Amino acid sequence: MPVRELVNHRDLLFLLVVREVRVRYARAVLGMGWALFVPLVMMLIFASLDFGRLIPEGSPFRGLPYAAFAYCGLLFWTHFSTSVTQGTTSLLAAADLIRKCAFPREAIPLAKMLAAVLDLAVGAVFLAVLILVYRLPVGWSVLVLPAVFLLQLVFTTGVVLLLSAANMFYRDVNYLVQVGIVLLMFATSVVYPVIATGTVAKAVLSANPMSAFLDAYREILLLGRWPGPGLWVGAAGAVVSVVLGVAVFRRLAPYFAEEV
Amino acid sequence: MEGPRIEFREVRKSFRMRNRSDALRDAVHRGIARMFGRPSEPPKRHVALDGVSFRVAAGEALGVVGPNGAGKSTTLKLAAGVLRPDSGEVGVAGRVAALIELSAGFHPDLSGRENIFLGGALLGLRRQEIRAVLPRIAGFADLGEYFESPVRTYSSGMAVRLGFAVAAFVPAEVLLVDEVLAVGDINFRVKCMDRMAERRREGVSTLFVSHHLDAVESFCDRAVFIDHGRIHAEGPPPEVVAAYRESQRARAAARPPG
Repeated sequence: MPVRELVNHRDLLFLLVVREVRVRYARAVLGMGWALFVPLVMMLIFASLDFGRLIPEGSPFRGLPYAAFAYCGLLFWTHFSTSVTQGTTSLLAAADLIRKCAFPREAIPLAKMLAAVLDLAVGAVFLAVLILVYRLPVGWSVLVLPAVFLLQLVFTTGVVLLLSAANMFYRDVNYLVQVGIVLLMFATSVVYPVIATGTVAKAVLSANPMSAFLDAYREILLLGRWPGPGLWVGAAGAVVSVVLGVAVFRRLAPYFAEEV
Repeated sequence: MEGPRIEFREVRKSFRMRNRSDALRDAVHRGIARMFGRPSEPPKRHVALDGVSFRVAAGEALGVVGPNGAGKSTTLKLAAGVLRPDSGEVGVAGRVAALIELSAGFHPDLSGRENIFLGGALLGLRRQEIRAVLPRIAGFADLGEYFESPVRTYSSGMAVRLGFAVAAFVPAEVLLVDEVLAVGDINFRVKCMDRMAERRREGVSTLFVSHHLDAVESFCDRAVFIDHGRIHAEGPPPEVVAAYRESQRARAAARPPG
């Protein structure tokens, strides 16, 4: 039922994404250049701090140019973190619409997530440059790249739906998300491979779907390999996340208009 | 005889009363109280509608009158599907175009044209459907060369005209109107009433909320008088309006002077 409603409103989703993109860059001189700016500057910071030495002996990524390693991680991580931080507050920001119009509320946070794909596409140009400059061996495995990104989108959908709905009832959620996303970045293989000592920490950290996605991108784009079995963690995470997120969102959505 | 377009059956709607958005703190307090076995006080609720029933047939216009806070806007929002009733049933057949607040959903950085598409899409319209009525919307809103300019450059009157034009021309079976006559100049008001009458002849059902009692009397087939969430009178508009005026007079007389 919710899916059909959203399909009926597919033009709404499309127009919201267009609006999002246009408004985001409407009065910025650098325009889409900003999409490149965030992951690029972060990469330069971590490269200058010599985070490359944190890639351990025995890691498949050992020996990769650190700029490519970090930028690849940061590019896809930035899509996740932008979607989550902007998605969490998106329903509140659309209070006017929610109080007055009946439409599938999912469209609001999902539009944020989909609009951020454009940033990713712009930032990917620089990743392509890095791959060419360092002559990294891209092969046929690049065909599964869209599927991996789709899994990441499914995972992100669940997270964004859950957090945006929760933020309607507890405004504290937004503050927790702002801190949480930074902590999560350092618990994810974004700028270094996550290594944990101790079985509990290892179990927790290796169950991080985002690490699974980022490692898969690197295997495909930087090593020219097919993604390893770690991607199953990402697939499982995506399913759990979207089932939970959709269920919670559908339960709470009828009360949004009273909470904004 | 087809069924009613809008049907309210024993509809009850209440709202949680809050003075601040300290929901989490409240939840924590309640949780702690429960942990120590102390029964917590349930949050107070304000009853906005208390057992309201009415029907609106195809092509019929129902006026809703009553003082501020009577439950008129809650009624419209329930009909629009924005709110869900605590109990009872709200049935609406067909697409609903709401004039609940005219410029809701307009984005200041987008042009008039782009906002029409967005407004239509919020109602669930496909782009082709909006494109089909676009010339009529543009003609009615009468924005001239501002049509392609960002809405933030519009005067308030222009934004209102655009908002009304969208709701007035999108294909819908039910039209919800909340106090549109309070805004716009006299010419535009006449144009709006003409357009609403035209739609009624096309079979569109209208729920018309207004403090302009003359407009309710002249436009509506029937009216209801709501106060404190209950229907106090229902019937031909002149009688209902008279009952409302009478109750307002009685209330004013009962109020101590000063």
